[in-house]
Amino acid sequence: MKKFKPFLTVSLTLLLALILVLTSCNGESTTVTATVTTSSTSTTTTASPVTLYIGGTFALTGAYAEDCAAVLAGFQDYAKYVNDNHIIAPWYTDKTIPSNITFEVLWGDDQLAPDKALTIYDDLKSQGMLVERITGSPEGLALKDRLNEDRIGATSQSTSPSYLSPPQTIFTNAPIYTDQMAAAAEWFLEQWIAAGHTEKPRVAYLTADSSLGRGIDIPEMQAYLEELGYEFVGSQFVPMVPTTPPTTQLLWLKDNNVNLTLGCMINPGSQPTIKEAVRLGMGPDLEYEITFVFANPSHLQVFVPAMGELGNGVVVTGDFVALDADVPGVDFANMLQDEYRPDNKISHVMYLDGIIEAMTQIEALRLAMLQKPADQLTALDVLEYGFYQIEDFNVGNITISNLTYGPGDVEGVDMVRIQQVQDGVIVEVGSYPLRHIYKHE
Amino acid sequence: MTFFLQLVITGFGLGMVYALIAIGFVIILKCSKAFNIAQGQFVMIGGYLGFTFLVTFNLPVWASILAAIAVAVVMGGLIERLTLRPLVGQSVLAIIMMTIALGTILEGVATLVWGGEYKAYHGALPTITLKVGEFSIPPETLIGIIVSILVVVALMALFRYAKIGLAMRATAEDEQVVQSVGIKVTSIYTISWMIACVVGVVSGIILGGVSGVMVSMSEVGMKALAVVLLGGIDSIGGAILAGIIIGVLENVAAGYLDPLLPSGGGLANVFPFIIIIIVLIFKPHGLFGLKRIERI
Amino acid sequence: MSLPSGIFQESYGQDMAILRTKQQWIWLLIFLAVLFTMPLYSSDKIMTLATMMGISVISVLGLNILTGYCGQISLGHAGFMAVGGYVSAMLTANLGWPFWAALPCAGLAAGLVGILFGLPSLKIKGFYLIMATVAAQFIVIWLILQFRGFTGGTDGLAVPRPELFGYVIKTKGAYFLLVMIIACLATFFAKNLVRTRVGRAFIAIRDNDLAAEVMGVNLLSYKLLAFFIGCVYAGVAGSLLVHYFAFADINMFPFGDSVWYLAMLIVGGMGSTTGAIFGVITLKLLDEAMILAGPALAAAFPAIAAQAAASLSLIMRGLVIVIFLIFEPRGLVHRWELIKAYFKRWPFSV
Repeated sequence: MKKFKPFLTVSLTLLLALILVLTSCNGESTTVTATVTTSSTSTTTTASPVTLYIGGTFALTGAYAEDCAAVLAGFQDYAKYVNDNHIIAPWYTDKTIPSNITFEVLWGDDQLAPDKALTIYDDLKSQGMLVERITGSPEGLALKDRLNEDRIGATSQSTSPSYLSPPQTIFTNAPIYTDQMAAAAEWFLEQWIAAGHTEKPRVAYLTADSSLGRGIDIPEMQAYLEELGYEFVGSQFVPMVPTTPPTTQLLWLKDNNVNLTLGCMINPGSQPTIKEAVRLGMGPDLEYEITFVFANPSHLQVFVPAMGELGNGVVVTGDFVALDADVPGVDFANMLQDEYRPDNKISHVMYLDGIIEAMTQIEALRLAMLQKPADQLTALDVLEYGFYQIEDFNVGNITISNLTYGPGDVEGVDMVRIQQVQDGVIVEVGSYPLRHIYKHE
Repeated sequence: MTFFLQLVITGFGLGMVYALIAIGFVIILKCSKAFNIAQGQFVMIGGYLGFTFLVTFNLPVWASILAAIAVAVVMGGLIERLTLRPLVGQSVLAIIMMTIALGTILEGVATLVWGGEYKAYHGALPTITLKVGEFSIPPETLIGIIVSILVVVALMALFRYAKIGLAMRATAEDEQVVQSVGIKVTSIYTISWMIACVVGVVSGIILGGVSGVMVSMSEVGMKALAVVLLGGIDSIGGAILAGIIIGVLENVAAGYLDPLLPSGGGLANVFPFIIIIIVLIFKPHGLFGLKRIERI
Repeated sequence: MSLPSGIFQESYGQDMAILRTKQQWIWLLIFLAVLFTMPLYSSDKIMTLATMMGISVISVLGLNILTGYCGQISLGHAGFMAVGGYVSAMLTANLGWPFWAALPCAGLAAGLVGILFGLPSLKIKGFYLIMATVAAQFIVIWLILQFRGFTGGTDGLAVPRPELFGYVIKTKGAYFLLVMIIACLATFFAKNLVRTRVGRAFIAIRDNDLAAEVMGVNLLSYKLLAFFIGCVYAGVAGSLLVHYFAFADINMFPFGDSVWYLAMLIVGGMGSTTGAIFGVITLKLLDEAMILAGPALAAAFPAIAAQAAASLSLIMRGLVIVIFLIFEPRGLVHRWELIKAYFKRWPFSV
């Protein structure tokens, strides 16, 4: 033990020094950027370089690790593209960025904990970031009021209904979960009637046991389903990341003769669920006929490669196009990957989300810069002159419709895309208008 | 009735998995008096190793399992030598904190190596689905039962006939006596960690084949601790029986009580912890544990 | 403790005093002055960090009383914090109670829950007790989810900003002062508790509970008292945490935090109030450094993915515990005493 003492003292001192250096480094860099911005305010010539920040919090460890890593990569590649080409997309050659502006991605790992997200948010704000992004529903719920207090607009793909209740500063690029479920219910009813059924279809929630999954469990949703002509049976909750197959929940569905399930799950939840359902003979084409519908976090683009034909019949709502679709956005994403990460390409669909969110943030900043010089922008300017003015914004046809935001309209798209796995490939089976299920006060 | 029977059968399969994890814990505890909270992380690493060998390297099942076992042996040995050896004779708290820290490091390593991603290898393992009349028996139950029996038989043989197994039993009995007859206790410790690691990794491969693998899969280790407590912390047979009891009870309770609960469920997640409290209040030494008498 | 020459203790009171020389008084006053004027010259970021440290100090002091002094190891401290946090959140958000009334109730509620889960401690100890507290953590969180109507379930609960004497505590500086006042009171109480009959009984139980019982220490009541006091601290800390973020969510009280609080105690030094504070400061700084290090590492070495950089924080967290358990099991406070003694005796110490 004796011989370790000097080693220990040295290592402890090094550790302490490392901590101090890292903390002070950050402090210095913030002050440096602060002085840059103040010095540039004095000379309002266009030539002075200005750095604008995009990004936000990413949950790089935990249940969303995989999704968020892809989003962050999308952010970083897209920022490089804009810095190199000074336009925001190949199809928007008119939307140019002044050459003195550079974008930098700031991020922090919130580990899917609301308190960490709040701390990182404060940190990023103090570094001068004028926009923000939301990882998932718990962070969104925690940050919602803060964002409003600071009048900062945020982008997100998580679309909890509660984002709709004022203050609305979280702008989503997917339909709100309850609207997605409503569209799926309409689609299923058409199939049900076409198949010659006369009795009421029985519907239940099969959803994740988290704020993501429980977000759809609101009275308006149930009322809407019953109004459509469904019989609502009840809810079953599956852990966000089940460690064992959710046999109990599936058996309950069988026991209650459910025909359709609605729910929000991520892939680690939906894959074992469907696998177990198939084993129990439950599926649209199996002995026990039932259709499983999940909202977009269960991206089929991830689901299908892992499950193959095992996943036949599974429906996912509100998602992006398939990764092999022939749309400008996918080509653009492939081009970015070829250009900036030829060695470690990302196959996850959330890479597209990273590009869209970054594009939305930069478009908001660009629109705001048309009204005010870049070095005098405040978060409020970006919200009012930026996010609220985004209209008919094409993100390369990755989303079902162009994005439009405004006061009272944080739901960017105006349709819900419905995709189904058929013979191991993703097939688009329809699109339905938003029904605006959640009624905020 | 079908519903009930199906719940029982599924619970049985779940219980076998719990039991496998619990066995790893018990082996380490018996031989080296260390409480290993990181057993769940061994399982998680096992799941990822299964993915690496089965999917990335595309090895046949037997080769994958052998390769994973080889990695597990090295990992177990390293962990014991580097982190647990310096703590011999330290307090319970120190050892528990050490294994928790180990668990955190393993989770970090998994995130580093496999990107923390959800990896599934549906269909890579042989699926045996047995159907008896109305209800089907899940593959993990069958594989779980087969592997548990194999593991238990192998351990029994080891403890009964192999020289090293006898030495391990003797070490569990009295360390000082064992040392005085010339058995190296430290190598017994290392071997017990290796065995526990192998058991954990094998159950990880089974679990991963069933529902895929993710870093948070290690939480299953916390639930298996309930099994350990119910079975009595130093009894392998007790662990198996308790695993089945808890697996079945948990499933049946969740099946019937979840719809009645105000917020509709999640009982299965917390049920083992309720069992822990009940066991600790009424039968602190479990069903088969040795009651120790303390002296001042 | 060694004193400078020329200081004489002439009464028991003098000998037991925490601060025994003028110098120590001066240092304390300077420290307090610096602490309470921090909001005047610190950035928002430092205020946030310091406030979080203050809240953790309160929580870890409670854990120190329970684990460090009384020897009852708890791995469910974040669960007890959740009780306090949610009681306070529900009282203020649902019933409209003022903050100053909700805070003591939060402490009390957490204390009572602590007694409940401490009940098995008479029969069991060591590993078994640890499991009971782990179970407490998970059961508490599950119950919070079940009473969705009151707690908001998985959606969390928005909590109004605290108001004291008609003044809404909105700025970071003001909240920092509030936390620091409570943290100082908590430290003072913790420091004095050890010197009372109760504190000595705790230590006797820790060192050998059977012997303590033979000496006439009532094990049940003292163990439960330790659980009560420890969890009151946790409850107060939980309440402060929830009001700081103006939001209550179960993800703010994960099991990992329970482990991390115990780690703070180990790093700082068990059974020492100063040690608890040392531990909190060191590990909170480490946490902060890790959050900053992620982007910094990813920027410096573009070859490693951002996720790999983030995963290093998990590894570092584990590694710190491993290093301290192996090389410095008595914690930083022990090293601190050695360093102090070294300088005091210099040049005779080599």
